[in-house]
Amino acid sequence: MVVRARIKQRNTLFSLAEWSVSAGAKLSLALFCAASIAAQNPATPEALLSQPRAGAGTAAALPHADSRPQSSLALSPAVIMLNAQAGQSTTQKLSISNLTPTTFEFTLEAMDVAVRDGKRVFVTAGELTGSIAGTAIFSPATLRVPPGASSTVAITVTVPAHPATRAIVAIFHSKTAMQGTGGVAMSASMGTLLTFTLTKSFLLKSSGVHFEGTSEGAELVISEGVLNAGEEPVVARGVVAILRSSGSLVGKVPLEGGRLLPGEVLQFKTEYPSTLQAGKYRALISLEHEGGVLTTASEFEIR
Amino acid sequence: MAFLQLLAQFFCVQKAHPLTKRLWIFVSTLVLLHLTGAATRAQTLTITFTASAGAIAIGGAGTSSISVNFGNVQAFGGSAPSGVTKSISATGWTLDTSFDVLVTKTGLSSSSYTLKAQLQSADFTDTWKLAGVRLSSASSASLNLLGSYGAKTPYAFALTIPFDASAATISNTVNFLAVAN
Repeated sequence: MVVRARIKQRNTLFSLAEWSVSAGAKLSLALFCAASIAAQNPATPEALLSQPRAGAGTAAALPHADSRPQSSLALSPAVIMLNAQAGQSTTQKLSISNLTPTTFEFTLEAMDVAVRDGKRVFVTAGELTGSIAGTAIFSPATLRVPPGASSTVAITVTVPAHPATRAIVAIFHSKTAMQGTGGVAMSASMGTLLTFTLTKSFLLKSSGVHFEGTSEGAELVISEGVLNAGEEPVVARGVVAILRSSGSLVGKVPLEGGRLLPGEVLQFKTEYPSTLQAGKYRALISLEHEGGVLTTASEFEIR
Repeated sequence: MAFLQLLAQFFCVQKAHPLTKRLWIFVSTLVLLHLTGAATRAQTLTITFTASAGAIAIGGAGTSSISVNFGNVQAFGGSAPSGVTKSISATGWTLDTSFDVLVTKTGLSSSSYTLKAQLQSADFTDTWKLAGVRLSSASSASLNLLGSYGAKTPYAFALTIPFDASAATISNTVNFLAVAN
């Protein structure tokens, strides 16, 4: 018996894995394996849109794990990055856990995430021509999550022929009623960012490198303004190398990753951890992203 | 890649003892469940509110839903609660205080978050401000476009009541919205 399976799991495509199976138990296992992966990841061929970077988890986030509150709402996943084509649909599952002593009620809403003047703005669904958020359907559309419970919502979106944006946000709007009478309450709502990559048009442009703390003994801060001049969202991360004027390497420091939607401008900033002696130096900033590496060199002097 | 390795092992055990096969099936299943489960658990965003140093005491501190009780306050005379500043202007009076917002991430490749706020119910009489930004029930106002994860960030809260407003109980809920960038 020959079984053909096409399974996408995270960043790996197992294209037409083909193997012979001679025993029923093995066939069951193979099918179970495929079903297990497909159940956990909606980005199977049937889901039309692929989800190559859905996890996007990195070790860099781990230091924050210890500071995670124990009595909070927790939304998972908080970001979903999808590869898409016009006309395709996808269904994603979003879970919210209520670790607080209060029952939360939510209504679900999708909004387009546009970029104006280099900054993100949330736009009401359907307001833009080619709104992706306007196609969103939540199931269920409202939630009631008691203390200690978790609930999952499925959001289905269809990418229009000419999408207005490359991102939407799926918002869990808190409708929690205030306890008691009088006074002011603060309640939390949370949203999952969904980004859509439709083409290979990735382009980052540097708007210049800036240096602060260039006096000897001061903390040196290096920042670079970066514009996403392409048509697709990118996640850039990189490293700054400090070189002497002779070209020899003094040290390297990582740059924290950042996500840029098309048209968005972001400052990548890092502090050099040790002091530099007076002299002339060169900073070489390399930002790796989906479309390659953006390298910028800039000279500075410590006085 | 783990799945490919499992496939390779799958072929290797075709001629193995039946017990070995069953053991391999059991182990493979556990491994796959672990791998696929980890992928979905990885990313989490949380938000909590806490009292700022020297500001008003809040109920439910350290959770995602808090209450702030200003008690009975009047424009002239009386006193404001501890941690609250009362000021008088030409047209009304304002109560100022602050509180902290903490947003954390786990397993998420995101360098910052967006924080917005919106009134749950319309208030056409009083003026509500957070971090100097006026709030309404019509749309959410941006408080912070590049919030830092894991850092308690204080937000100034101001409630302004006009003099021509009659004495009444003021109550409303401010909905905060946190989204990973």
